[in-house]
Parts: sequence; C-alpha cells; structure tokens
Amino acid sequence: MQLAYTSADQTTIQATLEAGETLGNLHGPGTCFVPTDGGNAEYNDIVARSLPIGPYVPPPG
Amino acid sequence: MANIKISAAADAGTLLGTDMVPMARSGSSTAYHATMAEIQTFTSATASGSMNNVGRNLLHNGLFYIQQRGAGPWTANGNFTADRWGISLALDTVSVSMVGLTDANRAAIGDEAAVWCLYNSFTGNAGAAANNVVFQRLEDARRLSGKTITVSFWASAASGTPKLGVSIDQAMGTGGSPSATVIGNGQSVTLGAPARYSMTFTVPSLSGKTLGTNGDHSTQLNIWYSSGSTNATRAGNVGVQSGAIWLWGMQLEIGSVATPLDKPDPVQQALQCERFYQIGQGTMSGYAAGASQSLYSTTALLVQMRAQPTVVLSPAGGTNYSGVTASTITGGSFVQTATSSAAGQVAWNYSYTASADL
Repeated sequence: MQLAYTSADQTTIQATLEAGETLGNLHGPGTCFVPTDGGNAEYNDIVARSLPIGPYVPPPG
Repeated sequence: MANIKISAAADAGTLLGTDMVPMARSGSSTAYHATMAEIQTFTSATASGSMNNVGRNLLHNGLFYIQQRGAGPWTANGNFTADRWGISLALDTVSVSMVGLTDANRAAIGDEAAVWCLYNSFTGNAGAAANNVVFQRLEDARRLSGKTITVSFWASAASGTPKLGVSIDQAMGTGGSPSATVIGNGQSVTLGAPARYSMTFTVPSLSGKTLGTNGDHSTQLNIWYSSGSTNATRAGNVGVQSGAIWLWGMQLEIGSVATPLDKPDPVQQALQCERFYQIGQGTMSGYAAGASQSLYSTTALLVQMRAQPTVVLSPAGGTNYSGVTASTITGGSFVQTATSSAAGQVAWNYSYTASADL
C-alpha cells in the first residue's frame, strides 16, 4: 500500500491498494483519496495501523 | 407523568380527528380522560394502519431496494452488500447476494412490496473463533441507549431448519479515549418456511461511558448465521452450521412490540443510503496554455454525507491530461485536479464513489 498527501495542507491522502489489501471499508486493488477526517473509516485505519504517509509532491511546472 | 391527562369533549360515537372514538366510561357524560397508557395502547393498535405512519423503522434499506454496489455476490470480510449492510466473518465462507423474490415468496410473506432479499449461502467452520455475520451500524449510539427495542424480519431457509441469531452492540467510536464497545448477548430463532420473526432487546444505558470525539459512534445490529464457541453467547447459540437463508423486511424500532413493517418512500430510502455511500458521474473540461498546467473542478455530492468521504475516481475517457486526484473533500463536495499534457483543450469524463460508511 502506498500513501501520500495530495496537497500541501495535508487534508487528503492518496492511497494505492494492491489486490488483497484493505483500508477501512475499502478493498484493493485501486486508488482512493482519503480525507484526514477522524470520522472517516479509512483515515482511522491509517492512524490505527500507523501507516507511513509520503509527503506531498507538487506537480511539475 | 402519572397524572398527565388528555381531555376531549365529544359525544359517544363521534369521531375525534380521524379515528379516535370516545371511550365509554361509567358515570361520564360528554367528556372523558384517557391515561397516557390508554393512549399508547390505542395508538399502537391503530396508528400504523390508519395514519400510514413512517419513521418507526430505524434501519436503513431494510427492504434491500438500494443496491449501489450491485447485486453481488460478496464474499470477503468487510464487504458492503446492499447499501448499509456489511459482512463480518472469520474462517467461515459466505456468498451474499441480492436475489429477486418470487411470487410464491411474496404470497408467503403476504406483501407484494417484497422484491429483493438478502441471500446468504454460507459454510460454517468448526474453529472456536469462526463466525459469519451481516450487520448494520446505526449512527449515534445515544439514539438507542437505555431503550427497549424490537428487531423484526422475514426469513426463510433454503432447506432444513437452521438457526439465525440477532444481537446488538454499542460501539463508542474513535477519537479521544472512548470506552470499550459494549457487546450484547444474542437471541436466536429456528427458521423454516417464510415467516416473520421478532426479538426484543434492552439496550444498555451509556451513562458513565465516554464516546469518541469523531462522531462515529454507533449501535450495531448483528445477524448471526454461524458461530464457534468464542462468540456463542453473542450469536444466540446458533452453533456451527451451514446453509442458505434469505432475509427481507428488516425493521428495528423502539418499543417491545413488532409493529407492521415501515416502508419508507423510495426517495427517502435513497437519501438515507447516500448519506453513507454514493456513486456519480461527471465531466470536466478546460483549456491549458501549455503542459503541466493544473486544472480544477468541483464535484457536488448528491446529499450531505455523514462525514468527509473517501473518494475513488475512475476516469472514463478524455484527452490531454494526467494525474487526476481528489482533494478538499468535505461532506458535500470534493475537488478534482488534473495536469495538462500539452497546450490545448483538456477534458475528461469520470465516475466516482464516495464512502462515509460506518
């Protein structure tokens, strides 16, 4: 599973799940966008599992 | 409360409002006083039919009309099936799908509104921790705490006479230092031909408990199909079993009696489900002066969601873009961002899911 912030204010995390991986209520494979909201099941799963989150990488240009 | 009286002046035989008939009282003439208990008895006996009342059923999608994820089958722990209904399992195998009921089913139920059932074909595992459950989490644990509730449903077994268990848990949510989940003891019924079953539970008070600060606490209704010894009490001692069972007309209401099935308008059912999960489509287009230009588009969600949802974007065609992301997600909208590949028109079509399921 790969996690990275999608914005500099760190309000959203892009999560890329491989087949067989789960995050909150979601099952991989696929890419989802998780808000850093304590009421969100996927974000709570990230926090509970202490998954590392990559930094925001701004688009080129 | 014991001395509360409601008075009405009318002659015997005269209707009050729609259906209220003055009660005969010895020694009374034109007025009577009904106690609150009498009013409650009268109301429960007549209101659901005469007033077509709705709102008693606190479950969402109890008729399984709303199927934004399709008809299945679903087989994995954590899968959601019909909207709002999830699967929890350990070691057992399940295949949950939405199956159309037949005219014979409808005749047995006695209601032609029965269209879809939740069908679970399952195999129980002998392991102590094994189980399989279909659940719904009802938002806000305080809505039901300290109350007597009744769960009712129609069910039938494909063959044999398996048991079906029901239990109620109270999850305190996340954030801060919430108290531990309160696990309820289960009850069970033995199934056969289609029939309506009901069970009454006393939901514990939350007095003295600490709820999480994230607003995601809930009351969880569990339907147990099989269970090893570890969860036997929770499961109503259904035991380890295999079979196939269909459910329809799920209802959970406050009170100690199962009243007629409350079937909300389809519009209301859809809105209830979309508070937790929704799917949609959209188009974005714009013009880029060159490569690596960021383009933005805001998507408004269909209804305000329970919490900020997780968004999955599925591009379905377009031109001259890459790197679509979602950000600035709120309960009512999200922003898509894409990067142009070159100067010129940029456009994309997409579908999305937004999940704020409990």
